[in-house]
Amino acid sequence: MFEQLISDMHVSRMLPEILVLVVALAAILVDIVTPAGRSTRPVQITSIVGLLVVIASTLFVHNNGPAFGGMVEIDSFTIFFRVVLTMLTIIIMAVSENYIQLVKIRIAEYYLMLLFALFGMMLMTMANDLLIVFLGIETMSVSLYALVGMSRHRESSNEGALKYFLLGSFTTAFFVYGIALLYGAVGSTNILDITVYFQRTGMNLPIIAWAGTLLVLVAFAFKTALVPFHWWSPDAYEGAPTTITAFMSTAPKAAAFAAFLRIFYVGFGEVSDGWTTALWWIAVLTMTVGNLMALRQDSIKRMLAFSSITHAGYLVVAMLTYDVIGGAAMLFYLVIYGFMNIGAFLVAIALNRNEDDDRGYDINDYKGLAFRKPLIAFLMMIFMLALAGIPPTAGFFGKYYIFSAAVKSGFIGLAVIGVLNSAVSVYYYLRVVVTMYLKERDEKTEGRIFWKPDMAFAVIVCAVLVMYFGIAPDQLLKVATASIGALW
Amino acid sequence: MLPRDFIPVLITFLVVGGFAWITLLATHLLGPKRYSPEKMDTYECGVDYRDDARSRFSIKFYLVGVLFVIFDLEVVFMYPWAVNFRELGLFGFASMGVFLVILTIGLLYEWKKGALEWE
Repeated sequence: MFEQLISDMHVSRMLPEILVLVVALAAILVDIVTPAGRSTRPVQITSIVGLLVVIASTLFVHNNGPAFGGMVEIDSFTIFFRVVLTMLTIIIMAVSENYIQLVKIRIAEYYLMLLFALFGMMLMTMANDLLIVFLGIETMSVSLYALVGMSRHRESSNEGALKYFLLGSFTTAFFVYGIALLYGAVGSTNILDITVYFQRTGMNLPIIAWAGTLLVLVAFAFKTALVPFHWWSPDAYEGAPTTITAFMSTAPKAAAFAAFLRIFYVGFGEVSDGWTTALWWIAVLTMTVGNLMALRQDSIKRMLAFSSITHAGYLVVAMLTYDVIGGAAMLFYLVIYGFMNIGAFLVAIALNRNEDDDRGYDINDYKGLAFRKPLIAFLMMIFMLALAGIPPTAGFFGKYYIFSAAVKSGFIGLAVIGVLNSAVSVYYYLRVVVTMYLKERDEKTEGRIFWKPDMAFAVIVCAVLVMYFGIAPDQLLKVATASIGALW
Repeated sequence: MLPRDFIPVLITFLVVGGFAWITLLATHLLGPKRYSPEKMDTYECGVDYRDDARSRFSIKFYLVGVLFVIFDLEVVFMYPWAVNFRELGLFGFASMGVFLVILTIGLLYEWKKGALEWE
């Protein structure tokens, strides 16, 4: 019996995850042997090289199927997210060394926490059991709580971390309670068992199963910052060191959406009529509220924080279509959104006047940037146009796929609301472009520009990818379609 | 209406509750009563039990607490492992080895960061 258990584990299928843990442990050892107070560059290089090996092992070692007795499922969906999440983490790590030195949080734990967060996120994308989803969410969140509060000397960082932590642990309770109720109804926490149960009952569910589904939905809505569960995100995003804000608004969000997709498409697929109605309202609220709040911001960092709420709303529009086209549009958008958002945040770091100052990210600092630093202004313009969804950037195709998928599935009203919201968002994105290109230079607001080679490299990579996927989106869409196909 | 599978849980509740009540009652009736201020404290631990909750105490207590929990749990995992050592074979040995290596790296980390120094 025991031999059977071991052969059902298929430990080797989780090779990339094991490698992430090995990299984290190696990074700890490197940190131990480095004398205290020295540069964290060795830890950074260890982490990045290790993660490159992780990507290589994901791409070149093919070993799909369930592992750990069906607790996790390795399929093309998992592999897609493994690669995307690891790439986003590498970009963030690559630009971090100079930045954490600038804001005086140069400690090795910064990289270690990112690695542990990455491990949790990878676990979430492959989890085939609600308890593993829970484990992944917690591994990711605990690391993120610490990362948000990393700027200990800054009050807003502490405030953001505490708010995120309190609300996050509260949501965890919702999630666990949801799992408990579903277990009470189904008798298992495995997603496939839940599917079988829902196939038997159809929409005629006992109230306990509905309550469980609803609580799980609320927990995911919190983790992906959907209105009305978004209250933590602007403060956490503003308080966090900006590299972490860029990270949080992309990779953990993508991971949460991955687990969200797998649970709701595979597990709760039979009762999709129920949860798509809930998500319809959530999508409308998320897009609209995020937009209205972003309109009023004068701080670039806060504007991007609120606009990331709006983008989560677009993703929900794609998700609630509940078919291959919508799912593929969602994966496509998650990838390009990751690159354009990280790019925009990195430019914001470059122009940040003073991290400790609340007005360090003021939009007035961008006045006449095109005459001062034409390259930076041009790159920022690419990201702003992409976020607004204007061709020829990838942002246009991302939104096009999402809204056409919504129309094809009969959600015409929702698509109209989405396009209107997208039009509203053009105002605050173009406002940045106008400030950079059409306003006079103002000597008073001009601060230093923090533009190091690693930063320039990362921003240019993001910009090139955003343009490339805008001109040739077919390839990525094909990969996304194949990946989402694994859920059917 | 109660599902039959949960009857053992109910019985456990009754046994646990009964045991607690009987113990309380027995000690109350049988025990000698000699009072002193320390003895009347809620917890006889030497720390004033009614104090301002916002008082500050050393972070070291927290660290020691965390370290205790980690190594306490390590032993909890090792007991069932040791009992089944023969049946688990090489796989079990390797699994525990990996677990111990991870914990040891954690211990090295704490040591290097000074979490083990009281003064």
